[in-house]
Amino acid sequence: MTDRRHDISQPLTSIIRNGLLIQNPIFVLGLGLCSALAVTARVTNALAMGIGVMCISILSSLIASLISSVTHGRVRLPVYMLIISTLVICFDRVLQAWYPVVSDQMGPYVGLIITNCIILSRMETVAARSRAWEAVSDAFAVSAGYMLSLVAIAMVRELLAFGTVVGFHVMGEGWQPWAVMAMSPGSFIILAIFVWITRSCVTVKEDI
Amino acid sequence: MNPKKSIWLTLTITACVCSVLIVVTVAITEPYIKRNRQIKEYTAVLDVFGLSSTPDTVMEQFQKNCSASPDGQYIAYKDTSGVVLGRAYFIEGAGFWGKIKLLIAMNLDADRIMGISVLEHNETPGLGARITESDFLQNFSGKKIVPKIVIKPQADPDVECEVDAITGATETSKALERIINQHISLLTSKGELCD
Repeated sequence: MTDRRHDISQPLTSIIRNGLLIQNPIFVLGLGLCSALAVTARVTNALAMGIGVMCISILSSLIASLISSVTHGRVRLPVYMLIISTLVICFDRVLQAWYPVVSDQMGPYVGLIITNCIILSRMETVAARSRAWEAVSDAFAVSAGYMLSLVAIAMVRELLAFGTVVGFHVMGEGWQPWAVMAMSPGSFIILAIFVWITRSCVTVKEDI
Repeated sequence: MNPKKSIWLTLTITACVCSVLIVVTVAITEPYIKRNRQIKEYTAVLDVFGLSSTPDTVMEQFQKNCSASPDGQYIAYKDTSGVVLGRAYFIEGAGFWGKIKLLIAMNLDADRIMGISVLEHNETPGLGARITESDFLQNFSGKKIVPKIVIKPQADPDVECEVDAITGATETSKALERIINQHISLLTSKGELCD
């Protein structure tokens, strides 16, 4: 197997910038939208989901990078799927056992981290051909971008839908909640506005 | 090594390692998860009987005050001398979006609600989901369910079987009313009193 490791080597700052902005998974790449729509009615849920995806993404990218020389190219994807599923199941069980409150709030969405394409895409495009520290920092940067995007959407939705931010009342007594913001259409609207803003600020290369 | 062999080897090793990891995690977490589930259920039961508890005391208090009926249909609430004061039933039915699971406590005469709690639901956040709020659920305590419960807007607080509906959640309120009324014969049966 040829070593392609040096091709994409880049400094840490550019990896971070890349994950947060240039390749922001939600606002620019449009990956993981399903969870972005589902768990963003409350900031705490968005944060919990973001932390979950970050832990699993970092671990899976690290493993993918470590085993890249011994995995045959043709079975790379099945192996990655097994790794992600195992980590997610373990994460879900740990949450249920020691953090039942968080687990109750996230409901089925913890299990759905398995289908979050951000994790798999980082393993396949970066981790499989990078050194361990690069794989880890890339996974961290991209999932941080994911988490911040989720929190940004959730801030707006929670404020408009419930008049609260992270559970604290910030709107006055007379605040009329926007019910639509608590439901899926609300998240589509807010997501679209954020995508619009981000894409106006960042030059997106569409030549993929 | 020939490629075919290496593919099989990779997959087998990965699958084995992953399986072992999952089995170990499940084995370690199982007792904690079971306990959490029990705490949640017991807290809900104590709650509908109007008893407050903390996660640390819930097990002890449940054993002191409650016991399941021999046929498993309800949970009986007893005072310290063992006299039955009420019964709690788990009932469920279709809500607006999905299943609603309720725990409902009846008084000894089986005609009035002592307390009610929503265990599971899929109602609209911010609207129908407000059926889980204690401000709404409190309205049920002391209400008569014979001949039937009525959940409607601007309910008359003096009418014994009327409960105020949630504004903006007509369908969920109706569903709740339907679920309770469907189970009236179960809820009003006095059952075999266990001791």
